[in-house]
Amino acid sequence: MSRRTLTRSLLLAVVVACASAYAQGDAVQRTCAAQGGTATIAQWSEPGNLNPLIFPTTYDTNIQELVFARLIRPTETLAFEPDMAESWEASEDARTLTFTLREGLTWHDGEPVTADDVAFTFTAMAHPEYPGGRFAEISILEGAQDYNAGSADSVSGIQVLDDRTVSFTTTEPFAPFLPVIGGVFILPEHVYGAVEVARWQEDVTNREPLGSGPFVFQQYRPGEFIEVSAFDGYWEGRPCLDRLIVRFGDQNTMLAALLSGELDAAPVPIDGAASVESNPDLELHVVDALSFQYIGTNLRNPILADPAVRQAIALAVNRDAMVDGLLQGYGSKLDTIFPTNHWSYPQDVEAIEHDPEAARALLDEAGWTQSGQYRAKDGQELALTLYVPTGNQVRERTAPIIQANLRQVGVRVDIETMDFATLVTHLMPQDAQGTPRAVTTEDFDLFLLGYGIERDPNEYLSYLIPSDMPPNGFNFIGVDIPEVEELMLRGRVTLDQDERSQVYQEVGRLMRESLAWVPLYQAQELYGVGARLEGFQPDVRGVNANVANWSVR
Amino acid sequence: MLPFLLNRLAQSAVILVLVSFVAFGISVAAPGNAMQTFIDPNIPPSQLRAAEERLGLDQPAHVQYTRWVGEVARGNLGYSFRTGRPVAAFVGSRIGPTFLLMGTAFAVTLALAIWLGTVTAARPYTVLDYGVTGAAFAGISVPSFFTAMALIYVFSLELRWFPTSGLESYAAGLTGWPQLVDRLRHLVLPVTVLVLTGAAELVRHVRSAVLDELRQDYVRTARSKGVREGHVLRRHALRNSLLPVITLLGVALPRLLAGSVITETVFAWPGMGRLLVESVFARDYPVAMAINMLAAVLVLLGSLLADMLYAVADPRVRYS
Repeated sequence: MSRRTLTRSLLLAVVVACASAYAQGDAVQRTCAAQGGTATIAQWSEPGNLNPLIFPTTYDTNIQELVFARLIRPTETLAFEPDMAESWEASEDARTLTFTLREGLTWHDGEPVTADDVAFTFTAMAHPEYPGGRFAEISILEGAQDYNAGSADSVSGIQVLDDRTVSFTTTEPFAPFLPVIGGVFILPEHVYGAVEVARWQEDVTNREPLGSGPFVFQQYRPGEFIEVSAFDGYWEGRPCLDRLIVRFGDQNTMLAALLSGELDAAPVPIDGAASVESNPDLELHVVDALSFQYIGTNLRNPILADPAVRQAIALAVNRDAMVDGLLQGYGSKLDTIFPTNHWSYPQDVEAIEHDPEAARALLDEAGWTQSGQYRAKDGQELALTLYVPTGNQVRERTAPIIQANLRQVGVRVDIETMDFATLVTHLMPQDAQGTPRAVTTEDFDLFLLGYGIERDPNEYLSYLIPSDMPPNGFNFIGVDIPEVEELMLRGRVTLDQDERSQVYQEVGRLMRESLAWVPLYQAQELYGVGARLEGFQPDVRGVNANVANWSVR
Repeated sequence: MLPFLLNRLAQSAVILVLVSFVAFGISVAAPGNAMQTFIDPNIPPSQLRAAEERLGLDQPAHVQYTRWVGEVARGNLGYSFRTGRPVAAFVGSRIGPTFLLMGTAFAVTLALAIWLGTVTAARPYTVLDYGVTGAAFAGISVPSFFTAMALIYVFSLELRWFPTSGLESYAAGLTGWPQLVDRLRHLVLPVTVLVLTGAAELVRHVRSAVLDELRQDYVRTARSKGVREGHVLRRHALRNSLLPVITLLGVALPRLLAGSVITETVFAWPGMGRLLVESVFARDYPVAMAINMLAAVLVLLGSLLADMLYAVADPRVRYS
């Protein structure tokens, strides 16, 4: 490994030197508060894979987006703007999207970027041996299924028209296809194509990525940090920083490193907000996110199948206490299953009030009568178990609040805390032979989990339609509402954005009525920034939203 | 000595096989597998299933175990499920930092415990003795993550004497002497945590061992012959009292290894302990198994070494 690395970095050094000489003439000039220097930031977990096509997590993507670029990228308002592509157009029948690459794009090693690289990247996702799990995203492309099954030599829906033009054709009009394109980092064929797709995860390119994004990968010390350096040939202009170091460590450790000045910026757990605010050298940035927390219900359980019980749970839970107490105000309640700052959220949705009295009345009406501390019906106690995954401290602390709130209305809740992988074995159960099976009443009652929109609300489809109950999809709770299913399917083919947002907002209203997910709160993300780092401006897209403009004094 | 050694090595091999069996069993019995930690709305269960099959996670536990043993016997530790890294190189790169941390902590612990143990034994039931004993009990009782956070608060955040975490100052790009000094400064707090918890127990043992020896006839004889007290203490009593301490050292190694799991996490130290925790949460069996086996080898080696040292230190002990 080491010799290979050395050769590559030497080669890279030479090539980068040439590229910078070439790029100086016509490169876009960026206005920087200061030029050069090294910034050190942190994240709470180490990335797993740096090849963006291998089971990406947020921690992976946060690194990948430094090194790679996409054809198009999201704007702050969650529309899309040109990235590597300078323009794109849709065909009359709305099935074909044609992208034109910018002129003069190069990879970090100086090779030119061509439409073939784009075709290579998307074709790889459909390769029969492709190990990364993202085939489903592009399976809507014409011929993708055939290529994946091995009955075709290429994906007919991906056409290279010339060096700078590539088109994608779907089998039918597919509204969220732009978000799909905007979620794929483009790989250089001459680097990744030299490795068998089946070996992509094991290959060194999964640890030493090469792309065309703002920063060039330099080194990765496992357990410590990843270092990248400015790419002189970046189409949007060389980043202001010379180097950027991303460290990984436990949240409190990274908070301490931020407070002591070892880091220029770091995410801050809510408990650390006060210490950052009281530190004269640090500034607290509060950023809206697209994720929220909810209580999931097993609708196969006869107790929870009764809408009155779910509604009583929603009325009994004191979500204000969570937002004001646990979140210290850094967040808000939400009343349905979409994040409040997304275009899919119906702003007119009926608010869920905190009303224990009404909850009691509903339960009385539903036949659950108080006997002693808890309610019962036909000799059966109103008792539910709440599964709580570890890993999010604020969420863990909501469990006892929920337990106490529900006890006040006569519902008994037992809390079971487990790690995420264990919770998944309850939500996506397997039989004794390890074969995935359908969920039963016994698998779970209530669970806490977070959800959010990565790129498009179509991602909810698998969670909300009856055909996607495990083992086929992620509809663990077993929701089966014909109107919701119809709307979710319509959302895939509705091309007009206004109409489309109406479709999802209606889903939001229906899910508010159903309360199959009892929405709790939407937390904001906090970052602490040292005085040395200028231009740090994370937004709803994440921490690196304007990383190329960061500079250090 | 040689037959004893061979015998012990054979025993160790059997124990290692048993350990691998139990460790693998526990790993596989833990609910969930590596792919189930990748729930993502854009990745349907069928894709996760395909990945499970690729990794052999759909096979029964005994098949997975036999395959693992077969590969390990051929010297192939496999690839990390989570990162695709070759396990040998992955774990290998974390051994150095852990040994640096443990080795330094071990040496300091030993020196400190022997020194304090001897000093307190020489002046038993004085203010000094009670002070050290009290501190030792505090050291044993306070959990190491608390000690670690308290040290970071006082020495990194308030006094700013030492850095909070990491192996070195990454952005500084130091080389040579400044780099060495920088690394030593990063070593101070984590080593202190391990020493405080480790030395606390050892100091109690050294103290009582030395006290026992000081009551022996030969000590009285030496004293009556007019040997200086310091000489009696160091040359005679201390040497003999080290015998039980040596036995304890064999146990101290695994304890340090366990302590390093927490200490490495709190100080973002790139060692094996932290990797083990991460691997367990990610259900990354190949990595977790490699670290478990390495730890088992260390423990066996530690106790073997202690037994051999025993023979060296005490001429009466003969392995034949």
